Amino acid sequence: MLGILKTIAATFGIAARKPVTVQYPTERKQLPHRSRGFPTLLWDFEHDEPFCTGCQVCARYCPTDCMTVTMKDNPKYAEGKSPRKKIVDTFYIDYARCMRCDICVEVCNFDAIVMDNTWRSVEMSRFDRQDLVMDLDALLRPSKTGLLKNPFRDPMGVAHSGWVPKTEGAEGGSEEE
Amino acid sequence: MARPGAEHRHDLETIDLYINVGPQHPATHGVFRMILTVNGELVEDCEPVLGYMHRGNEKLPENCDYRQAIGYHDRTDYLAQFNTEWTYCLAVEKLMGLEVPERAEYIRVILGELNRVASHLMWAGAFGTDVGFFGTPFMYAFREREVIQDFFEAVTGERMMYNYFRPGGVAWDVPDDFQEHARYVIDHVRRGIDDLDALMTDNEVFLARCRGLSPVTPEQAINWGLSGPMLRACGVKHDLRRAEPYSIYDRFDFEIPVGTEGDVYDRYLVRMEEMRQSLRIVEQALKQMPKNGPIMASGLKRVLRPPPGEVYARTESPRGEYGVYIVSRGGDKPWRHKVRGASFCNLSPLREMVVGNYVADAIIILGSIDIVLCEVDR
Amino acid sequence: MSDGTTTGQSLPPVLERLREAVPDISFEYVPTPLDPAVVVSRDELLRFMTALKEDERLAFDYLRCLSGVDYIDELEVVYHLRSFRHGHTLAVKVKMPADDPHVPSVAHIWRAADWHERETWEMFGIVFEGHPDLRPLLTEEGLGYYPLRKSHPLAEIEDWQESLLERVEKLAAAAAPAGAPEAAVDEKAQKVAMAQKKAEVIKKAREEARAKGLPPEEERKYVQEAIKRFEEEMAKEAAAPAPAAARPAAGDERAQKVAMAQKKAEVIKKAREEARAKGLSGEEERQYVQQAVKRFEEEMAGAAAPPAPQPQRPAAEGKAPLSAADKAARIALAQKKAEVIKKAREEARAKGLSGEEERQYVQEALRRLEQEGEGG
Repeated sequence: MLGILKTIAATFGIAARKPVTVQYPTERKQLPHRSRGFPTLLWDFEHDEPFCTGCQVCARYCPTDCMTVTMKDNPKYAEGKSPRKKIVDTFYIDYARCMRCDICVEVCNFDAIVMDNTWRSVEMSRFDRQDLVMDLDALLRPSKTGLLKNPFRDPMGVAHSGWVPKTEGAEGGSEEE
Repeated sequence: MARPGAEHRHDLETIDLYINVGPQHPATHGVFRMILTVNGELVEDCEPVLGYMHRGNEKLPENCDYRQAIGYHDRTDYLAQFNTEWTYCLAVEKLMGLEVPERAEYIRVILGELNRVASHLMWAGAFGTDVGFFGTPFMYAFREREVIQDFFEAVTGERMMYNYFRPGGVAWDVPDDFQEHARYVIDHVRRGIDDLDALMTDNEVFLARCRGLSPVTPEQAINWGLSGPMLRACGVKHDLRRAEPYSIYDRFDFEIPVGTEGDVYDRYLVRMEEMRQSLRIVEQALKQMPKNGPIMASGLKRVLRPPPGEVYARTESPRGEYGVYIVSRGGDKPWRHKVRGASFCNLSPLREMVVGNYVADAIIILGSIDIVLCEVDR
Repeated sequence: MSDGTTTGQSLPPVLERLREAVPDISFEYVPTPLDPAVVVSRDELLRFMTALKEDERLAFDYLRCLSGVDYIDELEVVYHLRSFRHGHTLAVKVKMPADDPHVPSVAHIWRAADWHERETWEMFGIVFEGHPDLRPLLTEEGLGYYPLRKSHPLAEIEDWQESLLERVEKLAAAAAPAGAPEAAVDEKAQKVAMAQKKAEVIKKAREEARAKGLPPEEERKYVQEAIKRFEEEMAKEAAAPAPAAARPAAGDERAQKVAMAQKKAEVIKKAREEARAKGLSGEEERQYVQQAVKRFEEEMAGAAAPPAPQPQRPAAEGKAPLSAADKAARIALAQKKAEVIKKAREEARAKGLSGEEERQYVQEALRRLEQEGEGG
């Protein structure tokens, strides 16, 4: 009997506390800065083109093979407006396959891909699975339009291990190890 | 093991009845099926049917390089992701002879122990529902687990599938407010455990349903290959953190709670006490943790290629001994990658534990094992 | 296989005890980073394991893990043991040829081995002799292959990915004005073909270089030259026909698609309201809405491109919902099939056929049914 009274007392005591729930669609929890949504590409405002050169490092290291990337010669390089010899031509990420492991961000040589840390990439429900295959345009939009204000750029787990990212003389197509 | 009522069972002419519990059943904590043969209310036979969640989690990493496989370990035991990642990373580190920096070890201990608390909270909540507390302990437990989950999210960026440990350290450094946030979590969760304690431990209904149910002797437990709280509830003082100290567990002062009867109630008590001990370890680790320093072993190549060899690494995950057996033949992919799921071994003597009890108690016994079906089926 | 005495100078203490306890069984010592491992022959395994459990000096009472390993030419089973009394650990390995995979079961020594052995049997096809209940544990019965053997390939997901992408492009093309879409798809296919050709060239060049025995640096140069030659050739070829038309702006495509979806949603909403106003039942309402959607899609298809866009037709047909009659016919067929299967299975059981034979029997019955269906 004593135990049951204790249970009832505990229930009433806790019922008096402030609720911790958030009424979701109307109010949202604040996402932490390093929140890992889906990978998106960054836009280089200085040269008005994507950072991505289409070197396919991310596609090769992706555990789920959710990416398809191709590259082309950068027309702006010939005009002398950009340091990138090659530039991404097409880029598809199948968000339905992606397991948000962050490996593409870690291996990227050009810091061109980040995990979206806005609510936009958390609310990804679609009626058709095909709508979750993002093309280059959709992948660049958050960065290009300024929705993605402050992406978490610290990771580079491989960089910790003594491996230095190449940023100067950004040459595409570094396929060989 | 005969329960009261068993002696009356031949008074009437009866036939055996088969009951399918699962595969889609809330009491099986996943997709798992028990075919119970019942005589009245008594279980006469039980056949577990599993494999519904088999996704080839041993085969997939054999076709991935060593870093890619970490993500698959998150998905093996989805309630103790840090512990599974840790075991895998430990295996690769042992193979390569890597030295993990001290700061990384402390980060691992803090996250791993909090993960244990989160897992046990989840278990306590779900177990309360099994026993018949309709939802209240579940809500209390989830409220506290959410606090821990938020902490993990602030550190790793993910709520569930962290992919944060790497062979040789951790992926990136912790945020600046790590210490304060962790202390807040500890205070909060400690109060939450007390709430659960007040709600369940002395409750007469809870006692009546759990005490003396399906007792397991230490000899049986060892022979059946039980581990973790299941084993300790039988009175075997065995914890891999003490028995075969890995990482830096030899630096912490903590108790190993053991039961006496090996029944369901003891399993509950052991887990509740383990949560408090885990918080104690986290407190000590926060105090001892170096303020700065490297978090990743130096000189690692982008593709890890351990030398030929084999290793069976094991750690104390919330469910027991989680083991990873890796055979390397020198390439960038493991040749053989075997996962010893703790709940796989804990579940295997289910028949022995369930037979002779009532159907309603079978649900409690299954709940007390703390199974994670993704780890059982892999 | 050498005796424990001859390998290494500083043996772990557990091996000393092992030699004292089982002096007549020879084993080979393999150091691993955590546990000492010994290799024993298959014939002596059972005696060895019994001694490990029973002997007071060893007392390995806990089987923590049992794994199978496929080394292609031979299979291996590894037992990881621990002793609670002495606190020492040991790994026992036993090898067998791949074409004769069987070992004695240890399930009667350690009950923990029961499920482990069942799992190893289904995954590697290693038969554990004397196991009380050797059935598959995680997979279904009669699978016919062993998933964890190296000969069993991991399913290729590349093909699937490519086909999905193609479909996405086609969809985008269908929403875009006519003319451009085919070019876009062609361009993609061309690119894929090009990449494949390139990969072949690289592979060939590398093999040639290896055959010549060039050092790695020169090998790379050789490969790069080959690629250059290949690209020049391709450039020449590409110069002859006119380059493929540029794709329209992707933003327009998407905007159009979104507009289309919004229109469709409106049509659905309207149809549903109408149906409700008429007081139709749930099933009728659904059909009514589907008809409205169909009408709308036909209208759109008519309005989108008068000069008959080819890729759109099959897509529209594939998406059309099944008519009620079709559905009924399918259900009837499925029921018939189920009956035939049931009957055939019962017959097979009555005849006392084995599992594999039973399956074949059922399949034959199904084939007969299909032939009949084609005839009638």
